[in-house]
Amino acid sequence: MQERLKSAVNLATAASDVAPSRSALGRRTLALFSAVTANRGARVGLLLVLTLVIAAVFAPWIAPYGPSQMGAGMSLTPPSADHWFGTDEFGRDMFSRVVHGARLTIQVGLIAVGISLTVGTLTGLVAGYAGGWTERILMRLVDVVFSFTETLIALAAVAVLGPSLTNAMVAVGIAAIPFYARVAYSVTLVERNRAYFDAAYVAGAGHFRLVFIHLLPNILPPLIVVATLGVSSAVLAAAGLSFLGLGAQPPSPEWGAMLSAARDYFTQAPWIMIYPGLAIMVTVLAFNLLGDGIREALDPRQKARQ
Amino acid sequence: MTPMPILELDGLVKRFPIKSRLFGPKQWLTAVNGVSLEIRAGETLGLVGESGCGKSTVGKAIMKLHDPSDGRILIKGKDIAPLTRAGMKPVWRKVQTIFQDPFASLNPRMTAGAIVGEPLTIHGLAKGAEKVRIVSDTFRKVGLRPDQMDRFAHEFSGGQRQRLSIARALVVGPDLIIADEPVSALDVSIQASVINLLIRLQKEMGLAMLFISHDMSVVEHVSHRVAVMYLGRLVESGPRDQIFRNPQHPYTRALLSAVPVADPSRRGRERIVLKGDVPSPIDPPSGCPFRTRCPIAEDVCASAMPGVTALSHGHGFACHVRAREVVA
Repeated sequence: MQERLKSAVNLATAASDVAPSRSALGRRTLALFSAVTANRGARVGLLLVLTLVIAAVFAPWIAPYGPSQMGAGMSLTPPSADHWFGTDEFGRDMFSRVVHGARLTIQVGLIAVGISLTVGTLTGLVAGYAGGWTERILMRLVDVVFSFTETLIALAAVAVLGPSLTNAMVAVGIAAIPFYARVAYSVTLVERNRAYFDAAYVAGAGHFRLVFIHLLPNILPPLIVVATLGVSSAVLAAAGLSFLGLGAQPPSPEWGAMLSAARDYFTQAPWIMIYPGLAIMVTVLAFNLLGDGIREALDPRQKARQ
Repeated sequence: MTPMPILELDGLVKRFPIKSRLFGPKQWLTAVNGVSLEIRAGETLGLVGESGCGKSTVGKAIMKLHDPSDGRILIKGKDIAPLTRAGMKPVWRKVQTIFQDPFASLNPRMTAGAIVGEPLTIHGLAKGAEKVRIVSDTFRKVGLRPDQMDRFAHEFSGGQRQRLSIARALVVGPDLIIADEPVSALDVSIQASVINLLIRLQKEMGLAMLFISHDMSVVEHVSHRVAVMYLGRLVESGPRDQIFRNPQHPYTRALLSAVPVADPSRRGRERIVLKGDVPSPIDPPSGCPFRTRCPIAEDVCASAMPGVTALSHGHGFACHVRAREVVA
């Protein structure tokens, strides 16, 4: 009885060993985290990103007023103890609007990058793995899209889909696909020439196993870097579309739309333009710092230099 | 009546197309040019030659990593040269490879246990607790501890990583192992232990092994029979002792004379130093491919390819000049 129990325990511990167990993956994640936070710029970036996320999640509790609540104060009052960022022409509290805007910004970043990362990675991965005609057709298609500037593609997409923040996110996401596809494709070409890929191939592994178990995890590190840096350009592009009136529509506290609305009054009340603008700038800076930090942590050559 | 060989190569040829100028004639690099050999169960064939002579291509062609251009590859009498990927799957179970670079050949994102257990999953041989049991047994067999299954490949030393490669090759119970320079990337101090492990396992499991190497002393230690390759062709093959004690082909002699001997009294032994480089396999010399560097080449060597001269014990070589001397 004692013996059987023992062997059962042994088997159970052994079972957790064969699959990439939580402890093993945990060790890796922890090592990456400490490598990222060892970089001062990345620490600042991470802190700012966390602040942004907290502002987005707890916006209703942090903001003293509703984002569209008119007459929260007198119109166009300068920053004061009551209204930290002042008020706009409708007397809306600018601080509350900027904090709520963080929600939209996080959404834009996640959804736009999510679209381009997923579609781009799959395209590049499949093209690099399959080779032949699949590769030629997919990559030439990517090249064609790549040859237009992202803003132009986003503009065209919004023109077709109609102006709204959701459509702007999708448009920005689509516009960035070729970039992710190119990165994924080139890394796939490198990885599929490594001996471990040959080893899996001659073990008889099928397409699915080769692509998703062997190639995908190994091409992810550079894509994570690109995606982190991509958040800032997505945020910027979406804000740009909103500024042009093709993204978020007026009452929405989207930072780009707020900048656009502020144009009429910014000579009298510069704060209605400064604060949303600062918010965009800080967000972009935060993701760039974090992305650079992750890149350095993942790049063995950089590590050796330190 | 000898049993059917596990592996038999019959005139294996592998040509690679070379990108040439637009509208120019298409050029071919002939890496392997008509190699025939066989390996029986429980036997190790050492395939030696300089780098670039095509010995690794032979290994890759057998695994169908390169499709052979011509010739037959018989595994237990069945020609696998024309097989597609689906048809190769059962073959891939019976023929396993140990790659040269133990750092590149293990997926850095998988744990050691997952790497060794993967062939079991692919071939549907075992899962769950059964798989864990087989994997831990294999770990012990190659001298690793089952509690190391949780680690990633980069947490192992070079020698241990090559043990993992061996474990991955053995876990499905193969008939034939293709070991492509399995120890050349390792420290000399580690090489011996990995080689001895291979020899012991091969004996225990009665495996056939194709041992590809450029290191004559390693090959002498491991092999039962030896085949010497030069510029895509076999120039001499035979039982190990015949090749090492009584080499016939001038190229084999030159290779052997380059092996350092730990015996100061033999310091004055004859050294055959080959002049020049290996000719390009894109444009090989006429006749005997070795004639450009051969110390005993004659006029006939430039005009005709030498046939195989057979000696006793399955010892054979391809050389005009030596053939005449042996017969005389």
